[in-house]
Amino acid sequence: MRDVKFLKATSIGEAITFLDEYRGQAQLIAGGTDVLVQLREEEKTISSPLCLVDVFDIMDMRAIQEEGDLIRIGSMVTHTEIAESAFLNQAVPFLSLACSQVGGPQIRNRGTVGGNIVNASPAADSVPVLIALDAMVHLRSNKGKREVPLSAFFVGPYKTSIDEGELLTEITFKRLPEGSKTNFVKVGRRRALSISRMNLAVSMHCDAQGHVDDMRFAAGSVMPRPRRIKEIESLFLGKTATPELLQKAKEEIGEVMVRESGIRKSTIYKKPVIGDITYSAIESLK
Amino acid sequence: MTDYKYIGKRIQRKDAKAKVTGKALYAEDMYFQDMLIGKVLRSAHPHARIKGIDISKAQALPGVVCVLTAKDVQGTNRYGLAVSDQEVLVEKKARYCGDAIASVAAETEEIALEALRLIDVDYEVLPAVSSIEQAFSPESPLVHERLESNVLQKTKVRKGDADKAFLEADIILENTFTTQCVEHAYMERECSVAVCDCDGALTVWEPCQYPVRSRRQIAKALGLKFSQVRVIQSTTGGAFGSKDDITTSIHAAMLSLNTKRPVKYAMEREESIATSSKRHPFRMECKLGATKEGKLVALKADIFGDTGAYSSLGIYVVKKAGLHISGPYEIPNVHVDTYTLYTNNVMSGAFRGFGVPQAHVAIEIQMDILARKIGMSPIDLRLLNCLRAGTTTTATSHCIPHSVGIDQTLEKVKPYYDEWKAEGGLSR
Amino acid sequence: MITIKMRVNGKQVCETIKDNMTLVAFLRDTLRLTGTKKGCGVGECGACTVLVDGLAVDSCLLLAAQVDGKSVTTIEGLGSINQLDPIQEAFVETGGVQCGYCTPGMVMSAKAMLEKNNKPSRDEIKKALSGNLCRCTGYTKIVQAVELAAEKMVQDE
Ligand SMILES: Cc1cc2nc3c(=O)[nH]c(=O)nc-3n(C[C@H](O)[C@H](O)[C@H](O)COP(=O)(O)OP(=O)(O)OC[C@H]3O[C@@H](n4cnc5c(N)ncnc54)[C@H](O)[C@@H]3O)c2cc1C
Ligand code: FES
Ligand code: FES
Repeated sequence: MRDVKFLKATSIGEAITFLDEYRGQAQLIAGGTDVLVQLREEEKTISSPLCLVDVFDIMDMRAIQEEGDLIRIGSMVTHTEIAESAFLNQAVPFLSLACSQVGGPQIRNRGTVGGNIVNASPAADSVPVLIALDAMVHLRSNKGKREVPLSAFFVGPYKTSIDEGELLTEITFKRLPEGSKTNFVKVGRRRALSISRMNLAVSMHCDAQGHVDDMRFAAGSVMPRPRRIKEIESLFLGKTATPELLQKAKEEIGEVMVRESGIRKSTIYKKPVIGDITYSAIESLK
Repeated sequence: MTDYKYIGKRIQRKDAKAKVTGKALYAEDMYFQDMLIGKVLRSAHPHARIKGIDISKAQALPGVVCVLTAKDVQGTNRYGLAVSDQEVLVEKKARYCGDAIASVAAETEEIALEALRLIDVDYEVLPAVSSIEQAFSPESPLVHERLESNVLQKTKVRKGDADKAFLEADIILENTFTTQCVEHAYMERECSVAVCDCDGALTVWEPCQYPVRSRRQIAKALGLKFSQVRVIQSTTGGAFGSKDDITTSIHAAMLSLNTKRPVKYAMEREESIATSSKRHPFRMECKLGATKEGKLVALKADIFGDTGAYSSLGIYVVKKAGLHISGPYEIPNVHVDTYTLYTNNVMSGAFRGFGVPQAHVAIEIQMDILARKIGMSPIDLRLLNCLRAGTTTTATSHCIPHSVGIDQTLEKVKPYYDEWKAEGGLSR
Repeated sequence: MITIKMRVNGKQVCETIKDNMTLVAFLRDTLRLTGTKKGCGVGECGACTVLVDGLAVDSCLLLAAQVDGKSVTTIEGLGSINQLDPIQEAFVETGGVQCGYCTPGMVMSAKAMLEKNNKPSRDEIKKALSGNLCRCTGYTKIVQAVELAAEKMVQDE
């Protein structure tokens, strides 16, 4: 285990002050479910000082709120809290569903949505849903505030555009059109406590004639940077989700994956599987 | 049914209450005054000559009490369950990535780990033997120079005349099966605590399967009298065969002898997986002959088991597979050769089933293929050929007078199987 | 070094420790509460499960300092050998204990769930235990033990 200096921040202001004071050595820690694993790995190599700033208990970053048609989730809200929130289960069921499938209960009780985002694993389960929702991330530092679309926040696997000294305080997104149907599907190596090999989030809304008028689709672990997959969405807009369209989506998603990630050893497995889960996830929305 | 005292009754484990309350003492739960923490440096290469080890920086680290290498071993420095082919600390060359090169005892775990980082090993990396095929290749190096090849054992099993019987078979299946290395993954990581008293007698607590055998190996390897070593099996958090091998005890013992202080050596999970013995990876080349009615007439098989860098129980595990490759079936003509091979892979040893699960992969898949070929129900095919009271076993040709359960078991399963099949079976 | 205070099994403790000490190491090495086990150290096995403010967490994935000011319950905080907690009793009676290494973690995960839900379905039990591995039992008897524990706890009320 790497040597650290531990500081507990009790407010956003205090956290920012710590980040400033220990610039170059500071790292934020939320639930610690990613950080602890990394610290343990680093044991063998690094001996430079590291200052951990614990932000888990900052109450201002722990709330789930509704403001008109805007939903705000504090970055320190845990996966358990999102999975169990009656409000979120009703408003954005696929977000609750995704968070309910992160790790096991012990991981969900500590792991936060903010940590999930900033860790920026391509397999992060909350991310495809938040991408589908066009979520914004809110950042604070001693220079002030900034707001970034989540899709622009990721610059590559395990890399975000967060600055040293910046704190992710909350995530916001607009409510889905009333009556939207959503789903989240995850494929891992086993059913419980497994990292997604692939995951996807989908939301669909149909007008009175049964034609799709709002469609959101995002997938994890199949492209270098997560984004809404317009290639799939546009197939459905203005139409009804017929088996022929589903079949088309199934083929298209594989093509998109290969185009962006190239052919890899896993492609032979991933291509048919991402196709199948795309088909069944969208089919389940009817 | 007879009213037995235990059979058919729910018996409460004697230690269940201690375990549910967290009071049961596993080795890692033991603490002694002045106890040191032991750690072991493992080889960075699967096959490498050790040209030199510089421990001076590690020794100089405050809090390090001793750093040991092969030259500090007072006894034979050899141990092993079937063959004494393992070294407590390797002297000339490392034979797999888990080989122990040096050990450290320090005041804290952190210091012990830091000391390992400060040990400089000068390796001359050698080409490694990493598969069964390579083990046989004349170009491959020898894993153990005491042998002329990498074949550790070869055993023949013969019954009747297989070659002749194949001539009369209506159907012959020839297939090759491979199975992989499997980790036991017991929940308790390996850990031992050794305490050395003032007259040099050792007490070692370890989770194990066979304390007397550990005791014998520790004494001989470290140059102690049998009477100077006491091994106590601590509550064991799962073993499944792998804790039959010496794991941490020999290092804890040696460190305690050299420091005259209690030493605890616990592996982290990574070290446990890298060093503990595994289920043998197998390659089985099989030929099965039958009549068109499904009666088995002959079996021929070459079985190769990769025992890794050291034998452990690999001699017997692979041999046993040869005795079981005919499955629970009566086959009049059998011709089997088994080979245990040394490679530079992690050591394989005992694991639940002891070579039999691998053999059953081969024979049972062959039976299913045969059933499909002749259009017979796989259950009926098995019922036609299975051992029954009065038949003889393949390997030992023992007549089994009673107590063969497979026919009755299959008869009981049959209606369920038939129903499942009628409903569409696999294609359902 | 850092000084931390917390309630452990109802008792206030205050210790000065290294900042990077994990909660599992703190409980075992400092407080000598060795009932909590470390199977992997990386959140995969659940053997180290304890309750922090009533929630099940992996004590290997937390620094002791992160728990400063909170309340921790370990297996030692449930019953004792002479007076088992209903969950512990159920594990003993059902045969949900073999080597026992996973048991404290399993019991703590069960405890966390049963405190919130005393009539769990089999699926809810499986979900509550999904962060805990057992290599001996095959889980069937463990799930049965939790079912029995739920019955016992309802009866006790
Ligand atoms: C056994 C196991 C299973 C897991 N399974 C899954 C799974 O199924 N799906 C999944 O998506 N993830 C999984 N994870 C990963 C992890 O649990 C999640 O990513 C979790 O959401 C991380 O949150 P945290 O609060 O623990 O983050 P931490 O570990 O505390 O932090 C993660 C990163 O975020 C940074 N950070 C934290 N808070 C802030 C902030 N407020 N502002 C800026 N930066 C911040 C930290 O500096 C760090 O770089 C698993 C992890 C383990 C150990
Ligand atoms: S030791 Fe904590 S989860 Fe395995
Ligand atoms: S009883 Fe041995 S691991 Fe569960």
